[in-house]
Amino acid sequence: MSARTLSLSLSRRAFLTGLGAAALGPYLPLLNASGQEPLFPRRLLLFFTPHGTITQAWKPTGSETDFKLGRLLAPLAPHQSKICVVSGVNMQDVGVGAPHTKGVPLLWTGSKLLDDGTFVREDGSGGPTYGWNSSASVDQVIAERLGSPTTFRSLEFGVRCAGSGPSNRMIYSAAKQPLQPATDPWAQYARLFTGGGEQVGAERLAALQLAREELKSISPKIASEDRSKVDAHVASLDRLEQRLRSKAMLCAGPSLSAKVNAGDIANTPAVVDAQIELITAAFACDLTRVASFQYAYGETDNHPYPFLGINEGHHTISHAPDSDAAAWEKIAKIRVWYAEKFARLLERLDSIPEGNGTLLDNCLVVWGTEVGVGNTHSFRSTPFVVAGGAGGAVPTGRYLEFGGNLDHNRLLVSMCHAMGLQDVETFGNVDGGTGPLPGLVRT
Amino acid sequence: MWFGQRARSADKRVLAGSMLLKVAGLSLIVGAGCSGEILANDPVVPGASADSPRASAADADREGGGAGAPNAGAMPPAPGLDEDDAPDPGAPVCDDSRIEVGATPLQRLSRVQYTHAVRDLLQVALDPDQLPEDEKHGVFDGNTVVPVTDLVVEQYIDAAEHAARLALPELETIVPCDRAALGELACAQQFIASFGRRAYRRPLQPEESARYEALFASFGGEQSSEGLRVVAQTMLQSPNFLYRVELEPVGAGTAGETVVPLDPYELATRLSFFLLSTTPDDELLAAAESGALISPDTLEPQIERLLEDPRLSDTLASFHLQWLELAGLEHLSKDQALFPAFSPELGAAMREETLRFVDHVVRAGDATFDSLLTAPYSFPQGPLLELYGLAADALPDDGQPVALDPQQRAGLLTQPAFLAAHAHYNQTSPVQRGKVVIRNVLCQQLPDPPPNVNAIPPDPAPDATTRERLIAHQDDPSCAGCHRRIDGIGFGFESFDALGAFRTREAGKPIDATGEIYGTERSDTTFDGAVELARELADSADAQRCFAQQWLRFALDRPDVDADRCSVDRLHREFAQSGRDIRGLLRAIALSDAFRSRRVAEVSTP
Repeated sequence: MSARTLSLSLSRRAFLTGLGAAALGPYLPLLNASGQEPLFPRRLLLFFTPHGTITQAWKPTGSETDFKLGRLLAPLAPHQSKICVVSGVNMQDVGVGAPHTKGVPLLWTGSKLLDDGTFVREDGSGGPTYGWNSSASVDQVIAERLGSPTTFRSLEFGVRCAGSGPSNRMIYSAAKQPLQPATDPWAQYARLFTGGGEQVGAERLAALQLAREELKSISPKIASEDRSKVDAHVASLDRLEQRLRSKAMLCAGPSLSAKVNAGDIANTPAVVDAQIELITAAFACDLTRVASFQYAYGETDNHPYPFLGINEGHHTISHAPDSDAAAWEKIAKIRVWYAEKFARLLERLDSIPEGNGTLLDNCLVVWGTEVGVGNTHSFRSTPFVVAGGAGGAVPTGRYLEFGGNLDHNRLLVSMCHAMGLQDVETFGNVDGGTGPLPGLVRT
Repeated sequence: MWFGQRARSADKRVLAGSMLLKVAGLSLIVGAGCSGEILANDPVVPGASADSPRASAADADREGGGAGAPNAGAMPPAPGLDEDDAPDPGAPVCDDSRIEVGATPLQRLSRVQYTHAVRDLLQVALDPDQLPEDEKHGVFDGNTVVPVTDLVVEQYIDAAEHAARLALPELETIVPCDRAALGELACAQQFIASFGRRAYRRPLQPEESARYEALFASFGGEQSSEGLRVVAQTMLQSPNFLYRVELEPVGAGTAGETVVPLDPYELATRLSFFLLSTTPDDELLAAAESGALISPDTLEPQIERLLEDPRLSDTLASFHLQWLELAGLEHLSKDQALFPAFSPELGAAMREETLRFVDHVVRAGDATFDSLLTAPYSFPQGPLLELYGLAADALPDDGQPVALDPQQRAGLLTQPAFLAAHAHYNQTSPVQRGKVVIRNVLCQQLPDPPPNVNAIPPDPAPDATTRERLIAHQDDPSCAGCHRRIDGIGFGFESFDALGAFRTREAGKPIDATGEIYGTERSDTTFDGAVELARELADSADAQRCFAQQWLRFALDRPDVDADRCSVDRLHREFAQSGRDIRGLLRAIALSDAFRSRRVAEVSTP
């Protein structure tokens, strides 16, 4: 067994045993959390940006293996050998909820919103009421099935996705159980990389045990409808206890840029970059193998982009007619910026050596959005980019055109296969077909 | 007595603290072994006669929820308020002898409630933004559906530890105790009992106290205050603090009931979070303990006391910021070239002005809906004074408002907070302003535009007013249906620019602020300018009912459902008859059946 050091801005990691903090030294043993698994596990990262794309500016030209990226994906050119552009895949526009609302949960769950009247559409369109999503998202299903012994089962990161409704939540552990992303990287840093020490650990253990006892005594005395909330709380406490008691391997964290107010829109680029650092470090340190990054949200992402010189809200301009060249130029500018940030993420993942390759080679990164085209709400030909080879499962450097004939549920199946769950045949409840997308994942 | 109606019905109500409770002439059985008029398990739609086939609430839901139905999914509009209004033949008739109330799910404290509760428990200030985000029901924050996640639990741990650490130097004074005379242990027991009662909003059970005493023993060995800190931070992580726990009735005798009165501590909790946005104080908990919250005669003085508490301001701020969707003021951004008066501080000043105004009207003024919507005075400060064209010393020091030109300004909807929050970066937005009035102030539904319409407002032009540039979309019949309603109201605000400054001309032309309220059940009319519009809204039965409905939603911290419709109708009636007294409305909600009782989901096993 050899040893490696984490390069670049990642500090070396140390073993912290139990609740104590006994650093073992500068080198990493070539083991991950369990010490018994393959050296470099596959990781999954879902990446979201809102409001679809401009298809003609997004699509590559050329053949599957010899292609030129379109204007909106041009920033990915340095990484072209490590991506697959997946074009011509539809999402199913079914069920209740407005397009930008249902599209966000649909993207990774392949499932409809519940029609349980949780939300009344004040605007009355698209069905008078709607609810939270009806099923788990692909990352959570994979995390559950893999049962990895990492410190965190999954980590959810976000930027500018404040608010809580189906259009703001893309990750679900089960029906009606959205997972809120952590939107302040500097606050999240402590959770990921700073152990509280023995005293804090003991206080937390005592508090969670007491809370759990009380939850269990409340549970039989409340309506069964509410019991799932209590159960979920108990389950979270169980996981937290496990984490506190485990001989967890904690990393010394990456060095982030100086803390800024994550709520100030002008700071957005710095916040995105800090989240990218945390994601990279969390994967490199094997804190988790499943993560997601959500930039903004569906229904009302009407943020301006002052740092790009755009003061109109994104959602408003995304509804401009095709003839409005000025508006489309602004939209293109926003989408190119998204691609630049995606490229930065790939660059960071690719900078961490793992075996003969890099961390990126062992990742499956999938970039999606909640509608195909902003100004029509079309769910046809929603754009996807797959990056990283998933440990060799996905041959990259390709442009795959599916011609608008297949549903994205089959991409979700492919993702399960790439992550080692080859028995999955369908995913989601919108009836999006059986089997993986042909040719995406090596069989 | 504040409402004639209420006074008459109050003497019919004999609320007893024991097993049998009579509410509005109807017996409710809350204990075992009683008999009487028990509400049918299957809720009857009011108006169905006893021998007619029963329509279930579910049927009513389906009828109300059909696509395209007006107010689908929410409550149908109320039957006419005035006696000469013919009742809607399709609407259920409400029967005051029967309590109908929607189910209240297990609620977790909102950010605001948590922050205020911790402030009152430990005298420390937390940043609400560091707490888990709230769900929304309608326009209001409230956590009723989604369970906590790992991240949320950890945010609560961090908040609790942080609060207890901040409070550490003062912790021993929060529950005063003579340590020299009684000793650390007895004082710790006292802390656990008193602080625990405030945090749990009820007395601790013996086994609960015992757990905390054990905790104190483990962590308070050398330093008593450290032990108290651990006790306090653990209590803040308890489900009994984080959730507003309302237990199902226990025992066989409750089978078949649909509505039961709240336990007095549960009622104290609802009262305090509704009226003061915080945890109940010792006096309210003592009133719960003594049974004083059970009878309206002794409940009323407590409600009166809460209405006099300065923390009513927190509730007023919370309600109005959410009702009119003013959260955006924190990040207000306007085109500096077009609006040289704009600065980031201006948004904060707008928010401050509106909150002071609301607070003055309700707490110091006549507390009427009319004043809220039409008062020709306000509290502009700092950079706002210039926007109003007032001198820097215009606002008196004595807490009194500045008189404004009554031809220009009338109440809340003519204040910069509303006008600037619902405007574009570089121009006004009659559409946004109209939309908020239609949905939030009149409780009317409005469909979204079709996806392929251009939602970008035409750029400001040197030779055309906003109205001239926008009116074109009414030429398209597919737009006209809604935009006659939206613009009809929104154009009324055109005398105010995108910052809320008064203007008489735009693009070299005089402002046309005429408009109409159109497509409502009983408020349709025409007007000229925002002052007249505000008057019409204050007089509108739809707006008055909507205001009562929004307050009930806020008070219950949950969406309203069909079963709550009669409560809204009753509150609206009383509100109208009281001269639209807002304090009276809050009092009436606190005394209402919907507020004081809860629907039984199921009977738990003992």
